Amino acid sequence: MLTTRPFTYAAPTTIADAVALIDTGGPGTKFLAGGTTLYDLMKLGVETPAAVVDLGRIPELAIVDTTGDQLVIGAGARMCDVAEDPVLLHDYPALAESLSLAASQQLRTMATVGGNLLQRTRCAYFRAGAPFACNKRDPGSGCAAREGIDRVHAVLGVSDSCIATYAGDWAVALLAFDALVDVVGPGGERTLPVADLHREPGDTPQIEHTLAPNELIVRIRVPPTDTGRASTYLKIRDRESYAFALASAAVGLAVDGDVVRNARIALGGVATRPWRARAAEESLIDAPVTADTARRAGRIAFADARPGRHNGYKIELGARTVANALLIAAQRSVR
Amino acid sequence: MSQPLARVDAFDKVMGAVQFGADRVPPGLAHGALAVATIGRGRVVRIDTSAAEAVPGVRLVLTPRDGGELASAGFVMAGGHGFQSLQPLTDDHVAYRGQPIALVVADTPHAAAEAAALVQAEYEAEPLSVDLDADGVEVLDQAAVIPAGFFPDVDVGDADAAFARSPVRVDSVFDCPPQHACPMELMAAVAEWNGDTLTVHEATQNANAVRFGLATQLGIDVERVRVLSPYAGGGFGNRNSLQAHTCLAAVAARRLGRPVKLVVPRSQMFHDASFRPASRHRVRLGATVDGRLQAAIHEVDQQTSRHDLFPANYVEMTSRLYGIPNFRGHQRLVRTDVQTPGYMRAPHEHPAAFAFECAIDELAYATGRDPVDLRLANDTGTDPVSGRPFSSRHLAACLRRGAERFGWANRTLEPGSMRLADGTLVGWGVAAGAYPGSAVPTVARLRADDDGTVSVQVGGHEMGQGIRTAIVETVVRDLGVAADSVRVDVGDTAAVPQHLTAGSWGTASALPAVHDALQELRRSLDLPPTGPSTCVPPSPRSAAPTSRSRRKPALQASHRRQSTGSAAEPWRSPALSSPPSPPSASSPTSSRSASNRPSTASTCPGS
Amino acid sequence: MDRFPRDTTGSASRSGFSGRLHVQMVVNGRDVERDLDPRESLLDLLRERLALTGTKKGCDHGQCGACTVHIDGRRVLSCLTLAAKANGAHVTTIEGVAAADGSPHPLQQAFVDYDALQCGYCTPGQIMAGLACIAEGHATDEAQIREYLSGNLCRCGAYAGIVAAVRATAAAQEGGC
Repeated sequence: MLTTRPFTYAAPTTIADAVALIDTGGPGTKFLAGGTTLYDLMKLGVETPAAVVDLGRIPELAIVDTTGDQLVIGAGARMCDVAEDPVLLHDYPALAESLSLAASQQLRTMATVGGNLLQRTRCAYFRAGAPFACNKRDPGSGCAAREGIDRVHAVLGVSDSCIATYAGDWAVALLAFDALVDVVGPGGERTLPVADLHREPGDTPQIEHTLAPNELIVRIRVPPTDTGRASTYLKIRDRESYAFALASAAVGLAVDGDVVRNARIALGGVATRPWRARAAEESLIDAPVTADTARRAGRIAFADARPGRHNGYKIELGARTVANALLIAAQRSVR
Repeated sequence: MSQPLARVDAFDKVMGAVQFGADRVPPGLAHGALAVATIGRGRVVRIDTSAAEAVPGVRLVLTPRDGGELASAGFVMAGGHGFQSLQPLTDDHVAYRGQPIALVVADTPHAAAEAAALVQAEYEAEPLSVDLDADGVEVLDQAAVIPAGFFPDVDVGDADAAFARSPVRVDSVFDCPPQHACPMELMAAVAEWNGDTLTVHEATQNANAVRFGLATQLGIDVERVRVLSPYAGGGFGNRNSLQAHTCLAAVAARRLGRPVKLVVPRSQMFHDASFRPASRHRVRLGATVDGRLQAAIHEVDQQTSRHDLFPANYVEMTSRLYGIPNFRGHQRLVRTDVQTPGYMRAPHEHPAAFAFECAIDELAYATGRDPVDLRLANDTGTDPVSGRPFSSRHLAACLRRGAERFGWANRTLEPGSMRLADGTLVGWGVAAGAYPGSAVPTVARLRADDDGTVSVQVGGHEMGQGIRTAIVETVVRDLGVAADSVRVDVGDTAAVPQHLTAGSWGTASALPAVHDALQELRRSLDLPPTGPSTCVPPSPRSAAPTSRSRRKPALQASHRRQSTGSAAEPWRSPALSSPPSPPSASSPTSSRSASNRPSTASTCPGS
Repeated sequence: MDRFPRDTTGSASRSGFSGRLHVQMVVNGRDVERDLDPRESLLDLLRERLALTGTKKGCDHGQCGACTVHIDGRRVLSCLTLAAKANGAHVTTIEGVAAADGSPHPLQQAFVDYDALQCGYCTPGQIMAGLACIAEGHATDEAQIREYLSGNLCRCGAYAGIVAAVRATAAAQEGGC
């Protein structure tokens, strides 16, 4: 389908200009990064901005510096480029894998690491619109998925208003490593943990993140961690590639001798937002990673899961995905 | 010829030079977009197009108010030409989700899309039943509603009694979902009028149905309609007959006096085209303790629409897979609120084989017999339904050869008993399927020019199966001419009548007609019936392209140079640049008849 | 439903936004200038306004890869690229891949030789993706090619030939042919 609503367009060359334009454009003005989310949703009539600020010509937004203690990744950097950064590949394989497994190479060439954080759900009812009720698109109208085909919908973080899965990968891996997001608005710059970026639906599923409409993500920073090297992002899907996760896990381990000193586990494809599994992490501390401890951690990660009509399989599948990811990460700790 | 030809159209395809249906940008082109109902069943009570009409660039909005211009093309399985009898925009009835209710035509695609989104409708909605099990479906016995002899149920012996007597019994139910062919090329039509003559470019497997169907719908003489589909970007049954969007583009083009291009979005393909219907199979098998089949009962419920009966044809095949002395096949049609389903990749044989073969597998396990062995033990040389010997039957040979080549002897019977070195479980099975080999009446016209060109016009459609290449190869093998001197026209109703190319019968039907035409050409040139032709010269036109072929001879059509004119110049495939001569008066129903016209080749020197 | 307000000013207003854009780009080595509605995709610009119909529309939502082109040497989906984003860029489509004398690129020849196609509709996108895959260094073995071409669907199922063609072409380049 084609984009139906006319809009006006601006292409600034600095972050300051972009932030200024989002205000002068008025309500209904949106940032456009790679376009792989926004333009797709505009063609479906899900997003109907009156004006678009194209971020694609701002060199300062795409600066990547992985030479220091923390990784500094400009929000405008392309997913495919960051995925092949040698530091990520060697020291944070979970991050590199979460980018490489995210989408086709064409999409990864267009899409930015900042825009990717804010991708919206793939729920078919959300995307289709009328006649299907969707509280994200039309608050209060209902949720067609709950009584419909909810095979790919969430089992964690759900509410009576919405069960739509957060479908992204990159945010899940960043969550595992306690990444930070730098944001610029008319009032200046602020930093928030990526853990505070996304919201669960609750009663307001139409509010998916904590940014103000006139705020722009400019940078993602990953603080130093001892769990980076022995890490992996495991993505389980209906086919081998080029599909969204049915269940995924970003896992990082710091192993000392035989036992785990630090563990990070974050879940994708199973929750309404990127999901940190802290209880599962704690279950691994001071113990070796074995098939048993890995499976136990997986089960703990899904202890509070609420199945719907067709997605109960995600609980077992998700638990095993966590377990397998832990075993892979453990193998990397002996490299 | 010692080696097979590379595809004759491969070169043009890799250059991006082949023109598919929507790859046309004629002067004055306008763009169409459909507005679809937002209910699944009911009635459009009110439709307001004022906002749509006010969008700058919009030239026309068609709604059911304009329905009087259009008739139904009839359902192809009931003697008509359309994939369904219901033509959207002819009345206010909404029969299925995604049914178009308006067509907007504008100067640009985005203006058309904008306006289509602004079409407002009010509905009276009715409850919707789309599953086989939904409340509100209507279940019909096929034997009671489809004319006798047409896809009949099968009844041999007394299957129910034999089943009840069998020491080993299997009783299982299998659900097969609706499935959509989704060829890569979107549904699209470019309709253009020249005076009162309509030309339509559209990917189809049945240009004849599009032609005759449009003539019926528009109420015009079929001689006024030409349909061209030289290439289809995949068919898979999805394009077997006239679809519902084509006449809308034609009506709009006639009203505006401009060519109209209507490209149907991918999401609408699930609603605006036929699809493999949902089916539920109950398979009961009765056998002796060592697995000899005594009885089979195959009952099928198949989805159809409210407005058409798409016939079920599952048991014709399953009743003949094995030598089962007692067989009862029973087919029911379930009316649901969908567009009419149709032929998508053996829509009957595939689910039927899946269900039946799963049941056979269960029987193998119930009797402790190897699944290949069981099938071989139930093989037969006699058609169990007619009692006549099969003229040919190779199932046993396939099973034996396959077992040998795959190393089936190493397979252990117990489920979960095979593992790889790393502990991964291995599952390994076998299943059979069968599909009829058919042929249809086909017309071929052959022409040999004194510049060495051999032109073949034949019924058929190229959708990647390689019919063009097979035709060229037939001519090359016969006459000994170079491949790039052979020109093939398929999918053009102005050339010869175009049969439905489906069911794996297109090439099988075209080649014998071409062969007969070659024989007639030889007779008219006083050539012997076989052997290279001495008076059709080797092609003087072939420019040997830079050849970097590796495994096969790099066969290409003659080198086509890209236009170096302005960027706005549409690239034209030379194959279409000179339209073939108008159709002769020869009857389209004469099978395998070559043209009545004498060839234009000059008298052979020295013959 | 209210109609949306429409800005048809030809130049950027004081607000910095424009409802009508003028773009310049180089397409297959030739200069192109057009006035655009911001909504226009690069795909529709190529097909409908420049009559370069080799690039195909298979889904219009970035899911099939048939619309793959190169922008400044990198592969993108033209259906999800606003034409405005290509302003000032070099765009290469399937029509721009062959040599100036019309002879096929080795990858195009390989597609012919390995029968890497059937209906041909996905073929331009496959070739554009394949060229980039090789240039990116992602064509070192079959598994890698399958992964890095996973964004290009082929309903006819010519994948085996496509992978073979890309691998053979990459190997020839590695061998210095």
